[in-house]
Amino acid sequence: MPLLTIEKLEVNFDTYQGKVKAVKKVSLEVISQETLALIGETGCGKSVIAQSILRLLPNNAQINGKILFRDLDLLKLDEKVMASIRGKEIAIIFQNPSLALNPVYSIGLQVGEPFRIHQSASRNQSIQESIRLLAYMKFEKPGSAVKMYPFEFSGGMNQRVLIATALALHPALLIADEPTQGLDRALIKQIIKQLDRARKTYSSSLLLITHDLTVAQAISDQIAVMYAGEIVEQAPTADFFQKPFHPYSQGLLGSLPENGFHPIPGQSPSLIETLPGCQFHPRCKWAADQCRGEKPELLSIDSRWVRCFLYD
Amino acid sequence: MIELQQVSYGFSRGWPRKQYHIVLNNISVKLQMGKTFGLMGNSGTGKTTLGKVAVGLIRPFPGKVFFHGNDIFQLTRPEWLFFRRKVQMLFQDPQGSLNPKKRIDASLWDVLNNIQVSLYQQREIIENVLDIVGLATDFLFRYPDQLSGGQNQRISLARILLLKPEFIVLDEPTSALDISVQAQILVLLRKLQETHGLGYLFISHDPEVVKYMSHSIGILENGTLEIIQEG
Amino acid sequence: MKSWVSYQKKFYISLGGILFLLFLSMAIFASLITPYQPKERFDPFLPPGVEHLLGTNDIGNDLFTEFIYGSRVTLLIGLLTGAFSTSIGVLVGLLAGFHGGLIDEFLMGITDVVLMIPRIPLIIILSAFLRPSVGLMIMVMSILWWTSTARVIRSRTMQISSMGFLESARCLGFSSWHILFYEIFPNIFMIIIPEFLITVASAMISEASLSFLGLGDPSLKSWGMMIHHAFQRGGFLNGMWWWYVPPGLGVTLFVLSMVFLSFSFEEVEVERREGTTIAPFNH
Repeated sequence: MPLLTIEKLEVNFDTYQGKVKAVKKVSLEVISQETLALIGETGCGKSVIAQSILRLLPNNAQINGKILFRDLDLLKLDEKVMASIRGKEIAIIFQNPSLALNPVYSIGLQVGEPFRIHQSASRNQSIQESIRLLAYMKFEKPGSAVKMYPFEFSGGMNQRVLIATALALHPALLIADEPTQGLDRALIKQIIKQLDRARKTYSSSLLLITHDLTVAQAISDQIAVMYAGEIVEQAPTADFFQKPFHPYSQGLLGSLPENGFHPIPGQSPSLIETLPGCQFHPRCKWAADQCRGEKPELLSIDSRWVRCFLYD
Repeated sequence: MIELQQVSYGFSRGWPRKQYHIVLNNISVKLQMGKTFGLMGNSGTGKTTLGKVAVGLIRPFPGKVFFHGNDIFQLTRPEWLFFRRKVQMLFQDPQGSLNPKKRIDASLWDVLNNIQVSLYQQREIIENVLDIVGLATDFLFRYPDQLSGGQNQRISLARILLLKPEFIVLDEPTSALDISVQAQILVLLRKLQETHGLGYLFISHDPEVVKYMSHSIGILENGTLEIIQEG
Repeated sequence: MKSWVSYQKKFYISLGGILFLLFLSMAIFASLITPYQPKERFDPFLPPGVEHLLGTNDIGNDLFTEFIYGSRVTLLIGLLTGAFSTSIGVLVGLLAGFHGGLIDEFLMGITDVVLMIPRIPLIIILSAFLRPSVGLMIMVMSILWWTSTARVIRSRTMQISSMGFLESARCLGFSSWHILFYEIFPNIFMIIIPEFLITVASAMISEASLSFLGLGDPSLKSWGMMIHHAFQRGGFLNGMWWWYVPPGLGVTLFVLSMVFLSFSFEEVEVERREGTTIAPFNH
C-alpha cells in the first residue's frame, strides 16, 4: 500500500542564470513500512523532491504535478494544514546537522519542539520527552545532554539529535536528506543502523536520499536512481546490486572502492540546458544514434523500471 | 624529498585557564617524490596540521622540515619562493579554495602573473592545464559558485599545476565529493603522479581510498605517527 | 509576490538615481540654469513671481539663483567628506581585519578614541577659534566620520580572511599586498559604496545643521547657510517660506536619494546570494 505517491512532479527554478529544471516529471511511490533509497549525484534534484514534499521550496520555484500522502494532495493543501503535517506525519532530517540546529537553544528544547508545537506540551514535559528520545538514540547521559548546546556536540552526535527530533511524534513518513554526509565511515554505519532501527520500531516509512550506495544497500528495500532530474532506474535493492540495468547505475557501482574506483567519463549535465535525446548518452558506452535523438521513456521489466533504449 | 624531523606543534586554548593542546608530538617522517604517503587518523586538526607543516604554512615548534636537504625555515627569499612553488597543498573544501568574486580564468592567470609568465604564453599554458584535468575551456568564463564540487577541485588542481610543483599535500580532497566524482578525481591524481612524477601526502579518513592511492601509510593518533606500511 | 517586491525596490532605486543626477546636474551646470548671477541685486523681500521664481532675500539676491549655486557647496562638502572619510575607514578596516593581532588592537583603539570625540561640538569649538570655512568643515568631518565604515569593513574583512581561498592564495605564493588588494578587496567592494553613500548623507545633514547654527562658511552659501540667513534676517518671522523651504527640501531629497541608491547595492548582493542557492550544481 503506497503511503506516498509522487505523480509527474516537475520543479523549475527561476534564477538569474536561467531556468533550472531540477525535477523533470518524476513519479515515485513509497510503500508503507518500507525504505526507498533515492540515489543520485549532488545537484541532480533529489533534495528538491524532499523539499517539495514538505513544501519548503523558495519563492522562485514553480511546481507542477501531484504529491499524494494518504489520498491528500500535499501540493494543494492550505499552509495551515501543511504545518500540522510537518513534524507530525512527515518529518525530515536535513543534510548538515550542525547547521540545521539552532545554536542558541539547548538540545533539550530543540528535540522537544515537536511536542510543544503539535501536542501543546509544557516546556518541562517536552524536555522529559527529549531525555527519553536521546536515551533511545543511545546517548550516554541524556539528562545532561539536554542541557548542552549544538556546538558542544560533534557532527555525528548532532545528526543523532536531528534523528531524535524527527522521530519525536512517530511520523508515518521519515525523509532523510543525505544523513551521512561528511561523517566518518564508522559513524556512518552507526547512524544508518539507528535510522533503520528507529524506522522499524515506529513502523514508519523512510525516504532515504543519498549519493552513498553503500548506505543505500544497507537499509533500503527499493532503490530509485536519479540523473539530471529524471528517474532512470527503480528496482528492489537486492536485484539492483546484483544486476544494475541502466548504464549510469552500472557506472556508479563501478566507481565504488570495492569495485576498483572505475570512474564514469564526462560530467553531469547542467540542469539549465536540456540535452537532446537521452540525458546520459554523452557518457554512455552503448550510446547509439537513437539515444542521441529520442528521449527514452521509463520501461517496466518485471518489478523494475529502466529508462534506456537498451531494454526496448 | 621532504623530510620532517622531530616535528612538534601545539597551541594554547581554553577559558578561563589556557590549556596547552599538543597536536603533533615529535614526528619524523620522509616523504618521497613520485610516491604517495597516505595519512590517516581521527577527524580533527592533527592531519591537516601535519600537512601544513610539510608545506611550510605552519612553523613547528620545535622541529625542522627539510626540502631536498635544506631547512625550509632557513631559506633565503628567492630559495623560499622556489620552495613555495614546488610544494603545494590542495584543501578539503572545494568551494572554499577559489575566490568567489573572481572568474575562473582570472584566478588562473593571477597565478601565472605572479610568477611572471609572459602574456603570450599564458593562454596556451592555461588551455593545456585544463586539458590535463579534463575540463573544457568554457569553464574559464564561469564563477566558482556555478561549478560542482568535482569541477571546483579540478580547477584548484589545475591552478596548482600551473606552478609545476614536485609535491602536493592533498587534504581530504574527495571527502566532500560524491562517490562517482571521487573515482574520477582519484584516477586523475594517480595519472598525474605517473606523468609528472608528483609526490603526494594524501590525507583521508577513508581506508579504502588511502589504500588505493598510497605506497606508504601512516596513522596519526594522539599526536604520534605510526607507520604501518612502507612502499 | 517576489516580483512585486522587486518592482517596489526598483522604483526606489530609479528614484534615487534620478534625484542624484538631477542635483548633480544642478550643481555642475549652475551657470547655465540660473537666470541671474548669485550676487546680483534686485528689490529685496520679493515673493515668488515670474521674474524671480523663488523671490528675493533681504539684500535682493534672487533666491532661485542662490538655491542652484548653493547646491554646489552642499554637494561638494558632502561628496568630498564622503570620499575622504570612506577612504580612511576602508584603509583602517582592511588593515585591522587582515592582520589581526596587535595591529588590529592598535587600530581599533584609535577608532574607539575617535568615536569618543563629540563631533558637532568639536566643530563648533573649532569654528569659534578658527575662521569657519568649507575646507575646515570638510577636514574635520573627514577625520571624525570614518569610524563606522572602519568597523564594518573590518568585520567583513575578518569574515573573508577566514575563508579557505585566502589560505590557498598564500600557499600559491601570493604576497600579502596582493592578497589584500586583489583577493579581499573585490569581496568588500559592494559594502564600500553603501558606506560612502550613507557617509555623504550624514555629512550633508551635519553641514546643514552647523550652517544653520551660523558656523558655516559665510562667503560660500550652502543650503544650510541659506536657511541660516532666512532665520537671521527675518524670513521665518515674516513667513517667507520660499526662502527656507527649498534649501531644506533640497537637503532632504538629496539625502533620500543617497539612501535609495544604497538600496540598490543591497538588492544586488541579496539577489546574487538568493539566486545562487539553486544554481545548477550546488547542494
